Amino acid sequence: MSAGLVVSDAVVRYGTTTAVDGVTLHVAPGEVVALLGPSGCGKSSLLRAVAGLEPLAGGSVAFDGVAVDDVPVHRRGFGLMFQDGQLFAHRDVAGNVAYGMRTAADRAARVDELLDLVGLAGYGPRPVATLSGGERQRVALARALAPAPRLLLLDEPLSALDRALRERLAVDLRAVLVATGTTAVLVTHDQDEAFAVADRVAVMRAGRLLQVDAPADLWRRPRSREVAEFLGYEAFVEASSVAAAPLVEALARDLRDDDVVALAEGAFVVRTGGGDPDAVKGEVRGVTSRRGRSEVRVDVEGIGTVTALAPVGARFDAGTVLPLVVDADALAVLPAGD
Amino acid sequence: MTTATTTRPDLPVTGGPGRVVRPRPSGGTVVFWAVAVAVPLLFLGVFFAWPVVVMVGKGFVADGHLDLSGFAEVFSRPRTWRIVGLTLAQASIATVVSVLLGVPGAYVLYRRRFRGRGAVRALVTVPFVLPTVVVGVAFRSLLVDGGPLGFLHLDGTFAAIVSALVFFNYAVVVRAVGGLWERLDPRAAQAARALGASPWRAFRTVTLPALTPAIASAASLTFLFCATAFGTVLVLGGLQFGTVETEIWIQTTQFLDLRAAAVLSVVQLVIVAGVLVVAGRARSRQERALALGAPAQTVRPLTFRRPAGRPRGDGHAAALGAVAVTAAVVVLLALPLVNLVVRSLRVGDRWGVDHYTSLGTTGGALTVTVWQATLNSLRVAVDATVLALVVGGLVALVVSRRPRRVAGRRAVAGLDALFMLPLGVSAVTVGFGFLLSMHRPFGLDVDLRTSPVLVPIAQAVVAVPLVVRTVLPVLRAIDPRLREAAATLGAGPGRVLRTVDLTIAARSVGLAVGFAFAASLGEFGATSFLARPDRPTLPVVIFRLIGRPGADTYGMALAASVVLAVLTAGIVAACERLRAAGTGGEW
Repeated sequence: MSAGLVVSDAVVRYGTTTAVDGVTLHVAPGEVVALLGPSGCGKSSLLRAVAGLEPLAGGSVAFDGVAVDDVPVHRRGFGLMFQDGQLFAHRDVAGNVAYGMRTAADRAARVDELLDLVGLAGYGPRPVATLSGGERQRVALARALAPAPRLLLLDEPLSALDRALRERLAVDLRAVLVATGTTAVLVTHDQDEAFAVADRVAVMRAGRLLQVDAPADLWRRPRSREVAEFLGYEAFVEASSVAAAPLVEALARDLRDDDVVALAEGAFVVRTGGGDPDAVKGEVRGVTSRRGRSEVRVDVEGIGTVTALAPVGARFDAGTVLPLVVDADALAVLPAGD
Repeated sequence: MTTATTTRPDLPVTGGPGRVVRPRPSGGTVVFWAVAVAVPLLFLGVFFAWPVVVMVGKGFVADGHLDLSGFAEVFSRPRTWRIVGLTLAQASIATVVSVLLGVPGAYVLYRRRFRGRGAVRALVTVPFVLPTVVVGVAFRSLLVDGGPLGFLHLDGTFAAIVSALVFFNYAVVVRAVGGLWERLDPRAAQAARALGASPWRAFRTVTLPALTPAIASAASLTFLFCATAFGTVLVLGGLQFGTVETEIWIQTTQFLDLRAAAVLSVVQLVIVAGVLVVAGRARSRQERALALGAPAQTVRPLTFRRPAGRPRGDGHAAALGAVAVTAAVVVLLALPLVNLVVRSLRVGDRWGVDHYTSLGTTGGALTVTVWQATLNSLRVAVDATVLALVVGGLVALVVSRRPRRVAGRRAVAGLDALFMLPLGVSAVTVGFGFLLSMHRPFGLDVDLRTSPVLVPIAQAVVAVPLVVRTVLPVLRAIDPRLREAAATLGAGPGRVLRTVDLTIAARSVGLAVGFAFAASLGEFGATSFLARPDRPTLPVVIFRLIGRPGADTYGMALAASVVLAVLTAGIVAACERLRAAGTGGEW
């Protein structure tokens, strides 16, 4: 018997289309796992199947060693938080939070405790219509946590919010989940959100899980080119090629000839101080800015067009040839044969 | 939070690879839905389908054989063709006029904001809930020789009937179109303007297509109400004008030609079914309508002067035109109502409440006093409303479900259409069918025709579709994920129904009660067949009074009409207020 959530060979079909195609996933007690994938990859369908909102066409879902396939939604003890909160407009904040509580005893105190936890102390009597988007999601989180679900499912909980709020709430969400020791599965298409909130990230595509790993491991060792591309690696070079030599040097380890080196944004940095005539050269295509820092699209011979980082405010004309240095943190080595 | 993983001893240990694994609904759930489907089916089966079938049978079965000669015979009469033509002409013209007047009205009353808008909206709604007999009486008292508009010589003309039908249905168009227009995102039209469209072109190419489903739906409903109009046409049309509906009544009660009545009922059924199909199509399109915003963002204040900074040719003139049309319509709507009250207070050449005091008498023409009839009406309406609410509420609940299986969805759509039929099938047909079928119904040795329970039942049959149409959109608008959210929070099916569906639908139940009560109070078609002579309802009494010569009985009829109008309008207003209070209260 294994503790926590075990999804084995789950299949979800809508008519003739297969949304989830034989997914197996294990979530340990207290662990937060993110399902990461582009829209339409089946991650939400998988989540809804775990919740009991979609019937499984194959496979099974079990929790703490007990199959829950025959258990209706409301008896599974799984909480679900929706992208747009789905608050009950006809109840106030406290009424929403209290909805799923099983005991009447010290209900008010528990509501206050939960609202405090999500940073909304004193919001209890407010009508939900007066809340901002971020506040609504905080209430939705408090409401989902109120029945002390043995598993919390979060369906794109932060996607409807603007970026600054999303990044702040992702940190708060992680803190709340850890503080309450909640076992959770989070669905998102936003890599930064998945990395910020989850202990492990499962990359999903076309109904299948491609790789499940801790964020750092996923980033450093994507199992396939498909995963690497989804994570944002933008160029791929065979380790044996001439162009790969400075990359292999920067990695400072032995690679097999048929390994592939993947380059993320920032694998090259524009060198400002003079120097090494043997440095990698890149020809400028265009310059954009991200958080003040310049990002330069450069053509590197044998590698292709990649994004190199440059100092704040740097401006280059198209066609300029720049010396580049390699940043090993933005490199990954893909196993051969892919 | 100490209970991160609670143990659940009640979880069944099952599993293994099956085909589609789906949690089985509990026994209670199955029983509940079975009852929810069976009760309305049984009610409408016994009290609607069966009487209609029996009556239609009268027209086609003679001596146990199928006999279509009745059909041929009735259709060889020029009178039949004249009546069918009149029905279609009246309904078509009244529908077109209602839409042409109602669309500007919807704009002014729902898209613009001005002081007193609430009062004007309420005034516009009053004719819709008025009993048909009252509308007939109000128009006659306006148009008869010696009335304020007597110089137009419209009494007993086609134009009088059409204007009474428009009077009655203007609110249908305004409310349906306005309700959608109010929430229509104005940015689509603004985008068209930015692309170089004039205000008129933007309206014609963007706004109007978006409104079309609501307009089509309101028009088909108006057509239905006009084509089956009974009380109004009977009072205004005299012998010269009529609808299929009044003709059925005349054939039954005056000529005792049951076969002709049955044939005409079938004609009516065909017309109604056709219109319902069109209405259903329009409605399903409307429910797919997109880009809706909150009214607060789309409604602009109404000003008579062009707002500062607004260039000429920006649609201000068109808006003023809509205001002028609507103002004229509002005055015309108020005219018969004010006139009715004024005339009921005229005694000979002086003012007085004599007509009202004589409501305590039988006026020499009645079996009971008007007040007793009023009491009868109220009692019957309470019973009918409770019945309609239970049956209609269950129908709305069942029809609002979206089953996962295709067969289930089809069944729900079928039920939806089935339960709308009484809206169109004439009340006269129902009343007449009751008379035929409730004598030894299903071979039982009872004669229900003499039973006083038939009247509230017949009125409930007529009111059920109104309840369904009021409650259903609210239930359908509930995001299914709201129910899912409740279920994942541990609420069982019963609790989800109670805390989500019923709580949200409760807001519309107030209005549904109002409509059902008003429909029942004013019901005349079926009741005129079924009301026992010693227990007439108020509309029946009014119709009897205007059939008698004499200024005093006519004055009594006017006073009784005012009482009935005040009762119905008051009850609908109270119910609508109830709803408004509810939205801001505990929820």
